[in-house]
Amino acid sequence: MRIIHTSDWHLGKTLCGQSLIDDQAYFINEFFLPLVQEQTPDIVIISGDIFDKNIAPVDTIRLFDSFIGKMSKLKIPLAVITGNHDSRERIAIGTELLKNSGIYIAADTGAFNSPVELCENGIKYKIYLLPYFSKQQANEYLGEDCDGYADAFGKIISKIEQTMSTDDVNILAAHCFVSGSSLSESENPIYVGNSSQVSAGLFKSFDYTALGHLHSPQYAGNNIRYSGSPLKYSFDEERQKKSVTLLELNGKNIDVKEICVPAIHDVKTLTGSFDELMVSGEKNPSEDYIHIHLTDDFPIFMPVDRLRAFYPNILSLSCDYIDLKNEITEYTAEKQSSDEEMFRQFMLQINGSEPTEAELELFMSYLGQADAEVKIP
Amino acid sequence: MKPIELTIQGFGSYINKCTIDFSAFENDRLFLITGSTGGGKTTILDAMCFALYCRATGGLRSWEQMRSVGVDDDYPTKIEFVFASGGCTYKFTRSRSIYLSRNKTEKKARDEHACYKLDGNDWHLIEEGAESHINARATEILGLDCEQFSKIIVLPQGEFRKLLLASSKEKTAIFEKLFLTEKWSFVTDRIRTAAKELKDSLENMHSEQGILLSGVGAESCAELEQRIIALTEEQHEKERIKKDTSAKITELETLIKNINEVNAVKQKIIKHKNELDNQQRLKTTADEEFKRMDAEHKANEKMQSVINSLNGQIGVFIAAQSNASKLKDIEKAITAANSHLKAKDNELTGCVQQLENSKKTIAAIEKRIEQARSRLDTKAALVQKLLTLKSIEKTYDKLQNAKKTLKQVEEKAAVCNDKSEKERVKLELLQKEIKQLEHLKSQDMAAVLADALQDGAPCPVCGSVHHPSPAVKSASTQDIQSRLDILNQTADEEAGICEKLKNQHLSALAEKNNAQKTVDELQAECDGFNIYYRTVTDDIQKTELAIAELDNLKNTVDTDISELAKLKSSVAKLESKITEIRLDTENTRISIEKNSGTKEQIISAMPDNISPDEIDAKLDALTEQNNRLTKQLETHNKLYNEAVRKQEVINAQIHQLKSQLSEFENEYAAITERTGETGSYDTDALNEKLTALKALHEDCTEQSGKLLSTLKFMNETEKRLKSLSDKFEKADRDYKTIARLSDIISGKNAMKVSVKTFVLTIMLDGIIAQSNIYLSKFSNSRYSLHRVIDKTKGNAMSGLDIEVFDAYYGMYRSVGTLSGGELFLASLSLAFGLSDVVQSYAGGVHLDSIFIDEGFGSLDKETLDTAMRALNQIKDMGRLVGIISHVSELMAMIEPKIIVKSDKSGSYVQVVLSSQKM
Repeated sequence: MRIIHTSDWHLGKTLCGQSLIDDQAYFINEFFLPLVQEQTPDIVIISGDIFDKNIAPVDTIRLFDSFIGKMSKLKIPLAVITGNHDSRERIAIGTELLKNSGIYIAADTGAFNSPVELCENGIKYKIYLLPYFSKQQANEYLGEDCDGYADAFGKIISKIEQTMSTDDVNILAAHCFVSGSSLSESENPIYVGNSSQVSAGLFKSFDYTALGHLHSPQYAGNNIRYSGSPLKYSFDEERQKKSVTLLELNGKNIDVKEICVPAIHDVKTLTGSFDELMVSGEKNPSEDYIHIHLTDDFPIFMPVDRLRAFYPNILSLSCDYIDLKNEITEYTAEKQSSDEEMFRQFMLQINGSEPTEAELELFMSYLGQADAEVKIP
Repeated sequence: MKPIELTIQGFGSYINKCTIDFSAFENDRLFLITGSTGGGKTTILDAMCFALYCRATGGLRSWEQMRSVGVDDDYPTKIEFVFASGGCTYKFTRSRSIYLSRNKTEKKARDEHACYKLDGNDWHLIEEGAESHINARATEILGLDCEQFSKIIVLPQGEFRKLLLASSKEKTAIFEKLFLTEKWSFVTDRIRTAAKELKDSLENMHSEQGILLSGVGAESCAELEQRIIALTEEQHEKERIKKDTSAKITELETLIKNINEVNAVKQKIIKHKNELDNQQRLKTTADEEFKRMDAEHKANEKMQSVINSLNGQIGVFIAAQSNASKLKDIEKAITAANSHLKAKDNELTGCVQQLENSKKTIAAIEKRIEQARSRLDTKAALVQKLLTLKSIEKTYDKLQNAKKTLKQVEEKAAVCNDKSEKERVKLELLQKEIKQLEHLKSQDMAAVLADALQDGAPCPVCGSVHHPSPAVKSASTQDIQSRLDILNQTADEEAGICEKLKNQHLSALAEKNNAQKTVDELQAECDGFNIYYRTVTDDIQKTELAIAELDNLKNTVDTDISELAKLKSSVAKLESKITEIRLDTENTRISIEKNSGTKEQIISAMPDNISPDEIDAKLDALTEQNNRLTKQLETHNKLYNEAVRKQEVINAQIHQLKSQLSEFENEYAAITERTGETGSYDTDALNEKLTALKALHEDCTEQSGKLLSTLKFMNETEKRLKSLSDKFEKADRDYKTIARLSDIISGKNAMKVSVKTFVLTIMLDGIIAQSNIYLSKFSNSRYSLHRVIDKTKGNAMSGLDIEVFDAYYGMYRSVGTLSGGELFLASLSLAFGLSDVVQSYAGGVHLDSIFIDEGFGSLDKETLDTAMRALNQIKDMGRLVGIISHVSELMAMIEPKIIVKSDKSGSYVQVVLSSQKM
């Protein structure tokens, strides 16, 4: 049994305002579909976040539409679950009809009740499709008020387990955040909070869990894997190697391989002083998506325009001049001077010399009066 | 300021009471207020602002605009806001209800405002009453007024950029309030005032010096000293002269005094001698006069007796006068009585005549009455007759009616009979038909029976065992049966009807018999009367007329009777009057006789030959004479007494003068002996000399005195000048220091920056530095804020304007050139920076929460993610962040929410908490 597992395509995503649709189209048409054709897997699993927005732009819909069409022509089954970025209801159009063409789209929480069944050599492979759901949706489906997201998730998993049999090879496709995994910047910030983590132990009864949501290809536990996004979607993913996962299953033996994904445009950060960058730009111009970080500690005039000559796809720029390496902290009162100090500063800066003893004494005495008279609430 | 609970009712779109519990977000600290447009999201913030300041955010809307539309007048708008600030918990309540004014035409609003503080577990009322007081309390507790609240704690829709874009002046106002920089302006003012005061006092001192010097006419102190010395010498000289002159004066004065004394006594003696001579002369004159008077006096004694006899005569004449008047009265009375007598006689004749006439009339009337009475007696009989006639008439009428009734009843009976006949006929027909049908049926019965026949079984009818030709059912057995049933039913009904009719007929017959009986009875009765019906009516009429006539007669009789009574009474009156008149006449005659007698008497008592008219004239003449004589006598007596007195006086005076004279002569002798002077000096020359000496003395004294006072004055002035110049020097030194300082701190310096502005710019720099930390996160280190420093302008560092540095272009841009989304992030950073800095200042405001109303809609997805990430970090610092937005991505991203929903009964909220448990 051969399975290709991928996720988090985020069709329509923009990176610093630059639409990545072309890169995504390239990925789908020039890499993925040929790969599928070549490898002839028994099923392709996409674990969520197909689109980047609830209401996806038209060209992304067209893209996905053409992809599904081509998959069906290739007669290779495709299983898709919706992620937190997708709008379930919109993707779910025509689910029943598509089933006949081998496209299984799971958008409803109860979709796990009808797993995709494949048979080979007398072994049943059951692929349970569990789309992303919120705590509210879980409560509605279960008909009870759950005690936190993890609890709801656990209850739903146990519902699946009730219909499982250990003779079959049970594969789960889900879209969630398993605790202990590593984040990158492009995941949705708040939702990746502590409140919606689930523990890896929930998946122990499945032979393989094909997860989506995190963009870095990684294991979240034994046979629990995030395939990762096929393209780099933020500048802190630049060091990641993007891939899709290829599974070879022989009963309960699972062999996992990563297949690297090439991209038209790489995503990287270039650091250096402006002059250095100009020099290296001239030497190696590049069309990659670049974030420039200037190390000069004085402002440069029109840096982006000048560097654009060598790097036409500069997406953003930061500089040490502005970039305060501090995190957001409390404002401390040490920056605040005492009244006397302020007066001294004033005299020094404005008058050019320190105040005399007499002046200081005079001023402070009046200030003392003022403090007494001006009411402090 | 951290909100804890907000309750609103009748406010904006929240018609029903709605409570929002913010303390549920204690752990989450970042929450979203979402809902459809117009649901009431911003209203929540407005309500908070309203509870504190009675104004919606931005200071715009007031009670009228915020009260829910369409609620009843007596449904109150209420807001209750519980929040914590500076460690204490407060509650502000406001409510408004509408009621009709007393004359039911105007609608008035009743407002209640109050604020409380939590003390243990109880709410302790701080103040209640006027709106402005409570607003002031809110400002006091929070340290912010409404405008500032709308810029710092709540960033209202579309207005978040106000702080960023505000002018330097506006920023100054805001920061001054927040950071209590008033004291710097206070100090500046005070120092400036002090400097001015010093300067004034210096000037005063200088002019005072000038005045003092001019007062003594000196140009300088040295000159003054010299003058003092000169004047002192002069004064001493004057003193010496003075002493000299005074000794000489005393000597001269004694001499003059003695001379004067001697002269005085001499004068006195001479005067007295003259006086004495005068008196002697006077005495001679007085003696002569006395002699003359005395002779006259004796002659006048005779005159007195003449006067007495005149008095007697006058008395007699007066009596005569009174008698004359009495006589006149009596004559008048007699005439009057005679005329009265005549009148009464006439009256008497008239009355007697009247009496005769009345008596005649009375007799006539009495006769008439007699006649009428006899006729009236016949009335009773007539009435009786009438009654009888009426009853006869009634009986006739009854007879007529009975006959009518009889006819009616007969008719009715006939009708009944007819009906009954008809019905009977119908019934007979029906019965015939029934019989026929039964016959048919019975024929069929045969068929029915025939059906039941079986070969071999006996026929119930005939008993035969063979049934060769059983009866055939007629086709319509069923029909027959049903028709039979119907007919039977009808027959029964018909029978019933016949029965009823028969009964009716019987009763009609009975009635008829009764009626006949009645008729017969009445007929018999009528026959008994011996009078016909026609006649009865006529008789009745006649009788009635007669009775009416009798009634009229009675009325006439009554009138006559009353008239009779009246006449009788008048007769009586007349008779009494006649008697009266006769009596009166008698009395008058008697009085006339009496008066005539008296008249005779009086005439005889008059004084001889004098008619009453002349009496008056004589009396007057006598009186005049009497008076004249009396006066003469009096004048003479007076003169005589006076002469006597004069004589006495003069004698006394002469005596006195003589004694005095001898006294003076003794005195003269004594004095001349004592002084030895005889008064033969030229006193005038001596006096002249004395005057001259005195004048000189005066002069010297005066001058010496003047000099003394001038000297004193000059010495004093010298002293004062000295102290003044000491003070002046010291003040001058002080002034130099203060003036310099004052100028510098009020901005009169090279940079033209005052200390207040300096402090503000430092604070603003601090705020901006803090804001930039946020902004670099929000904008991925592209933007940072800076204060505008325009060195070309005069007040270089006084500006509080802000500009933005864009790393993409390496240039500064004005904040107005930022796009909507970027502006939102910059304003947000500024707000956060400001609230950070404000909190750390002593006595500063506590800003533990911030509410952002919209603005996220202008961000694209990526920027939105960046902003949310940054906000996440902020909330971890302990601040409560509330976001109002309808952006759906935010709804997915932020779990804790307040969802504002609305249905036809207004808005309400649903609070959704995160699933995170602590």
